[in-house]
Amino acid sequence: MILEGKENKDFSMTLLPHQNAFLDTFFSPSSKRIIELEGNVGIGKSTALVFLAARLLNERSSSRILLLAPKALCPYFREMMGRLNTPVVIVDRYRFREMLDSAKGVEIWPQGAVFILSLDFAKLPDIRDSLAETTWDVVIVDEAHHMSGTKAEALRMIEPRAKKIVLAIATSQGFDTSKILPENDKVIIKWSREQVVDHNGKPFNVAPRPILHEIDFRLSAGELNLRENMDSLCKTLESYEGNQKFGAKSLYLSLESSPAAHEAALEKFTVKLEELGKLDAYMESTDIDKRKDFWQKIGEISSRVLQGIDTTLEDSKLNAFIKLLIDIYRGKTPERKVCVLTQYLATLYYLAADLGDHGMACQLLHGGMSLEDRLRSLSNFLATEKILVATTSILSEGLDLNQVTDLILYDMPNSKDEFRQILGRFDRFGRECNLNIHVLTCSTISAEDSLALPIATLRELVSL
Amino acid sequence: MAISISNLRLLDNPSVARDFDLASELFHRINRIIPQDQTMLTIPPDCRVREAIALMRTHGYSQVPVVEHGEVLGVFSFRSFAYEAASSTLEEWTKQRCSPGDLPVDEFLEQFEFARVTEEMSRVFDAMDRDNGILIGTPDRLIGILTPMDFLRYLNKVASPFVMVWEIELALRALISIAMTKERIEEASKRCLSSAYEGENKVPTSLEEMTFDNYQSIISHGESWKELKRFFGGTRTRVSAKLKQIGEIRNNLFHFRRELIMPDHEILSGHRNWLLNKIKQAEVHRKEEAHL
Repeated sequence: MILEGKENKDFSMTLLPHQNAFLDTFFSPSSKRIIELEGNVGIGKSTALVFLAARLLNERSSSRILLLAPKALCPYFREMMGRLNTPVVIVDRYRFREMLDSAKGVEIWPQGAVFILSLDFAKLPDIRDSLAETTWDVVIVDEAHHMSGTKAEALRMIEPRAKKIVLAIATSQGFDTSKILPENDKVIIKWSREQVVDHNGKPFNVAPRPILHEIDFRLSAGELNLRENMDSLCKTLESYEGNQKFGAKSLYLSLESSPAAHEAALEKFTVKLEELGKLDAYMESTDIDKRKDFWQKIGEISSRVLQGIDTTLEDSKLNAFIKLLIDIYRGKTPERKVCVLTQYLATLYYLAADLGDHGMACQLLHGGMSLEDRLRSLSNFLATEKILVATTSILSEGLDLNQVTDLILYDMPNSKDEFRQILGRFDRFGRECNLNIHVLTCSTISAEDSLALPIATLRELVSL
Repeated sequence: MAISISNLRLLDNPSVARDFDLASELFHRINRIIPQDQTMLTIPPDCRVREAIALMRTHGYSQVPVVEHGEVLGVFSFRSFAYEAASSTLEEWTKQRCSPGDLPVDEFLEQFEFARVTEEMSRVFDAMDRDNGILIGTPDRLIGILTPMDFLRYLNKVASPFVMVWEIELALRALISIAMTKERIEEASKRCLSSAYEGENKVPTSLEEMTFDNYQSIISHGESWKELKRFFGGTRTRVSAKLKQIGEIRNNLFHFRRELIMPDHEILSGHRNWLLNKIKQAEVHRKEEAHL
């Protein structure tokens, strides 16, 4: 992280040249009202936004700043602004009620602070209206490419009373802001890896490119049997003629992750089935017997799949994973730091338990941890531990993991965008060695039968 | 104790923002009980009773604030309607020449007490008992409405994880004691816990003396697993993973590290149900063995 020195008020000292240039543009008297900041993931947009807010409040303590960001990023913005001693409040429904309760007259949003709201919260009609009635010195929108529909409508309503607007957008998104904000009085600042340099003048794109490794494994007869049971469950679900949605795809994806994830998903599914069965009986008064048969059949197959998990003792993917880790640490490179990514919390604990069993300590990182625990876990990993097991969702939270030498994708990313986000966390400023990306691929399942992102897509994205 | 946000503009100390968060984060006050996704439904005083009741049925509400020009005039509820409607005689209804459903709601209003979001829960118990609800905010700035069901849901949300952890620990204890004799438990304890307790003499030897971590260590150990696996099922890795996950939520809960969120509740509930099944299976097993 670039943020250092709590008392440092010289904001230009801790930023990189392109970030300083952005702040100069914003604070220039001739600056345009709307600034669009476009840049690749991982080149410091969030940090620049934090410094912008801090500097504005430092120079004009009566400023009123609104920062809109995805919910997961809000605590990180608060944390980063807190480090710069910037008065900052995350506003959620509870906080908003308190602000309403204590507001004097009509003014709800006081001056002298940064108010951080999630994009989803800001779009709610009463919040949106309240924000739109307020004069803001600057409205900052991070990850503005998420603005569409009601979120875009909210920004459209807030915009007229904002003295300045800053939109941060990931370059790869191909997002067009002209549909949301006026085109006049706007400047676009583009950052790309090819153009930006670090403090030493070293171009960012000189950092070594990632290398993709495919680790093949084959399913055992027991595991294939489990898959067949799942096929049977999904076929029965397909025969359902009612209105309820089951999420069969998520069941399949959990099966591709781990028995632990699959078991958790099935247990959740069984609870959902009971609720849906009751709802179905209530909604569809005709053909009740046929419906009852359907729910009974689904219940039976689900418990058969659950029993199947209990009796399937092999886990070929896990074995391949452990073998891979042993190979990595047997390698000659002395300081290897491995980050293992999974889509599922149940898989995260499953891997942690197995690593422990093999005498390999690891740090965990997932969205259910408190901010303090996450920071502790991350700093332990960076300082002493060799392995970090994290859920993919946490990586949208502005982490900087450029010290990781090996990234193991235990589960395939769900989309190209998710993979770009993942790469952005590891392939950042300061990386001095190649990032080895290891992907576990199952050769027993044909590419058409797998719901995961094809490996060819990953190869293509890594080579860009 | 409550620090008004308006202080933010008076004090240049940035820690104010943190202090502002503090009281709300620490105390279970009325603000926490109002459902986070509550959207206020209000009706004007000239709304017909029939339409008001149709709206209330659609939203599943039993009362609705009546508001005119941003000012709360009172509350229209099934109860206020019933009281007023029942107090009129047939002669009076006939004289009005219309059915109760045609009348405007402002003829059937009752008054609820107002409370502030920063007030203590207990402050409104009497009002809640008397009126079956309270309004949050002030007559000219209505923020929310609270019903006894909101209290019940909130208290259940706060208390249920403790109850589930309680059930989980006792179920683990029961399964171990079904699977292993006292002597075997003592041996397992010495084998698995000696390093943590710095010697065999200090280790707890009965399940009642042990902590959740101790259970976890015993169950996850390769030697004990040989005896436990037929009662826990699956693989040692999967069972260890579940216990690790429960242990982390338990620590967050008992050490008040963070507020539990919906996925935590689902995980606890899922693992609690898994153990309930294992206990049922163990019971069947035990009965069969006793029969033999």
